[in-house]
Amino acid sequence: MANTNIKQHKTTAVKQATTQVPVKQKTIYNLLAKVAFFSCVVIGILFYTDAKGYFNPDYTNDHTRRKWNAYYEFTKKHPVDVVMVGNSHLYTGINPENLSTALGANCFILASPGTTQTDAYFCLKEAIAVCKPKMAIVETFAINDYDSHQLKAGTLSDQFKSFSARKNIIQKLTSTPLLFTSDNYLPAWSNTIRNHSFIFNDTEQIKKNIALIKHKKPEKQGLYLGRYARFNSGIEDTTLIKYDRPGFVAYDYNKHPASEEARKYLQKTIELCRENNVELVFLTLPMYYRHVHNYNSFKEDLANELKSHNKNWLDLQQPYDTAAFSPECFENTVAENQHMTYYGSLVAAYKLAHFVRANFAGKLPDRSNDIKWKQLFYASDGYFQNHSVEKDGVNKILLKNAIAKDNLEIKEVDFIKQQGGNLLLVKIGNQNGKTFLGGKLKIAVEAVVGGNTMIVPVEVMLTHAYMPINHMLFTSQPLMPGVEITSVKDISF
Amino acid sequence: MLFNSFDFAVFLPIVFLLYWFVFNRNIKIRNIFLLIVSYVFYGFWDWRFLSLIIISSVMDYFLALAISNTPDINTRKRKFLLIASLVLNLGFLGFFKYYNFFVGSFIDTFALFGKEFNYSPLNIILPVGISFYTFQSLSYTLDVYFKKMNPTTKIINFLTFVSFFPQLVAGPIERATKLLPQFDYLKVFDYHSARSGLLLITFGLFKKIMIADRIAVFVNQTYGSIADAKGISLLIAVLFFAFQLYLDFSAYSDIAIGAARIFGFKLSTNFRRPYLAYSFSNFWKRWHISLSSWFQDYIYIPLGGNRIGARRTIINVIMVFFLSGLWHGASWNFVIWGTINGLFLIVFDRIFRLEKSNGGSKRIFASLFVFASWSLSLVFFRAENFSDAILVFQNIGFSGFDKLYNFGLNAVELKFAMYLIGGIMAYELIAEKYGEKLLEQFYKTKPIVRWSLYFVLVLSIIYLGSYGSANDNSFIYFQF
Repeated sequence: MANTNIKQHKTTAVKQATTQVPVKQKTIYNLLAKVAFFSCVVIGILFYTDAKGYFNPDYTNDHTRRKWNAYYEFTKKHPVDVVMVGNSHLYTGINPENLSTALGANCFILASPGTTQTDAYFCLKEAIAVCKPKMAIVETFAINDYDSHQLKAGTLSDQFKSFSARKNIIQKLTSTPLLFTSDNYLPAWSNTIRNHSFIFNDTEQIKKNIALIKHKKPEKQGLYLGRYARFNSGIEDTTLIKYDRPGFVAYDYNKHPASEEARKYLQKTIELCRENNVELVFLTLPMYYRHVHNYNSFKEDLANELKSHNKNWLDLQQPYDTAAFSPECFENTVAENQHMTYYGSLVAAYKLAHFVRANFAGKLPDRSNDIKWKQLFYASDGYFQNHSVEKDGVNKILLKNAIAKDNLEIKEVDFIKQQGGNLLLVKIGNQNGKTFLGGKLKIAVEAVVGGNTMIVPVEVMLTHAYMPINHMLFTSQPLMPGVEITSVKDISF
Repeated sequence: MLFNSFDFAVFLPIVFLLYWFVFNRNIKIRNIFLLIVSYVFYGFWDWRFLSLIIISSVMDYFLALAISNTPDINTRKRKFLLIASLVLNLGFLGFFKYYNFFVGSFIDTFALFGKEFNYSPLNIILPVGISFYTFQSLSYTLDVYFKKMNPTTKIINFLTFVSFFPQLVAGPIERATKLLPQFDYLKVFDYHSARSGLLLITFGLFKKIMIADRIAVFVNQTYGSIADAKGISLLIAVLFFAFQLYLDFSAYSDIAIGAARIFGFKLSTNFRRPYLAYSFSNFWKRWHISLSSWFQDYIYIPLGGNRIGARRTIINVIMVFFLSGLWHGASWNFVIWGTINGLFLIVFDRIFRLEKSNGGSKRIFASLFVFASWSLSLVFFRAENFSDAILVFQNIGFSGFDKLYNFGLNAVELKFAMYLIGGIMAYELIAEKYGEKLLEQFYKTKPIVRWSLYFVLVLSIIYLGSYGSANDNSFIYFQF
């Protein structure tokens, strides 16, 4: 019985063996194909969530991205004459509208916070590739001790933002290993990877992003040249006292000597501008003079690096213009990093404009008579301070090309209507060095107040904030609401 | 190069393709290739310290040959050659890892007796993986000396054995008898082995990035502010660290074994579900097995093991655990941690017979007891110094629930971490029951099931993993 069973079993086994198709051995190619397919699906999913923007950071506060978007939009319609790169000191420290209107040119700031000189170099490189400017202005605060491959979380995050905001894929690819360590390549390229932790700690942002996908509105972009007026009030007396503390040092340049990388990319920046025939200006924006220590060592060091470019360096830190850069110009802080206020950004912008006009005469086009330029800048911040009022039905020229008492050459007196209080602007000839005692002019104007016409005295002041190139500017304080000035009766010191 | 780095994600596929498609004809050339890529792997951390590996492995190669060529009668010469190998290997280890510790301890001891020395510690960088490759290389000369194996005459094979990149910096510490012969023959690609290797790598990354690195945030912050973490936070941190250490290290071992497997190599199992151990001796058969067995074979047994009386056995056990603690780090905290675990083994296993509790509810209790004791001993392992460890014990408790989310993980993430730990432990329970069959069954399931699991693992790592520039994602055992 047992034998029969064995025989049967054997026969079945033989039958099975003869009927079975031999199993094909799987090879390395099978594995590679599966891994490739799997990787494609994973990358596809990642790409999808990136493209949809589920993990985008809050772009409403991302002014670096806004700058680049605006730059690309702007250059589609207009040429850019001056591109400025640097870090937050630049975009808070220079008012680009005023610089543009003072120079009669298109000036754009492409600075990002906490940036390295390396990042500034790549920003400039991309900016030149998009639209070659006549001039590049490099702010020197980014020439510091940062090393792109050793950035701390906060600065690294800023570098991610700056990188993410740029759009030139090839340039981004080539700059990736220079800006980031290998572990940060993927976070630099993918918002999903960089911000995946939103799932746990910022679900609100994901919800906002999803809502944004559903109701995406086209971005409205007025004239935006990359400024960011972040601080409006200057250093207060209570803060100034802190500088008196014995041994107190707010910012010590000796602690932030230029890294090898910063030097290297400074030279590469010089090379880049030379190759592209772009005028290069270096700009050092000031911090309050009592804020800064051992600036001389930095200055000497940078001077050695710049060599022949020294003449193109506008250093507003030293010599320090105490009268112009009053505490009002600076952020109310004694923390290491002190930025400029809106007022300070005007002072610095005009100093820069004068420097450029004095040292690069004829290198920049004067577009102030170009109708397209006028349309672009008309009524923007600084336009009326630098240029004539047109017949716009709102603002008025009260007086033009007149000689007042003591041969005072009046170029124009304007009545400007604006939010926050109307202004009286008095533009007088540069007066061949004539000084105005107290920097004041007294004007008698005919004004309509509450339906009654009367003669009103108005005092206008020479300010450090607006220093146009072609005339001297006196401005009134914002006038009382409802006051309409109709004509000028008298002007005197 | 870290296994969880972008560099490795690029390095591994390139090496894989070159290994199987370019260097696939000649075993010698293939081994040279493996040696070069292993040195490149190590050099990513610091090229200068490659010289240490090269010197120690070249010397051990020649010393082993000399030992083997010396007749048995000439015991003095054989001993001398062995001692030369020990001095060389332990000399490097002693200098780079223990110099400051020993000199500092020496001076502190004298200070107790009122004798003061002026001493400033040397600024010595600890070469990554030195404890691992030193023990691996050392085991070779010891095995040749004790005639457990014949020495190899192929220097490339030996150098590759010492520096084989998957297990170079954090083990498993392989024995020459097992790994060295694998460099002797040209391997043929095995689909199933490579597939299981890839799964192990993925699973290792899942454990590391999803769980270990997440709970590390909580552990680091609580241990960083022990006084603030008073109460339940500290208790959770102590338990979390036990899981962090296990998942971090076993993840490394999984990736190492998986990476070796895709090249056709078999490495030893390093962890076998240690938190299901029912006694301390059982625990040490499941935890860092390659090191435990190294100490057993080269220290415990040569000292006499348990063959020469109870008192001597106790001394031997304490000695082994003392050295094991010291192997982990040059600090008294590690020594205390090691010694405590030796005492656990003696007191609970030998005196209270915990090892007999293999079954039923007794086992559950025993496993929990072993885990709790182990977790508490790890306070010494994790704390910065002895006083911090004591502070942890003083502040641990069940109060302070309101502060629970102040230590880097919010409520959602903390719960998520706990669910993940629960999930891993549930998996381990199932694996304990079914063993190797579990994986076999998995490979027999429908492709859609397998592929779903692969996608879940990888996508959850990407979307839910704890990684990024703010996290320190290095492996804990790299410091040893």
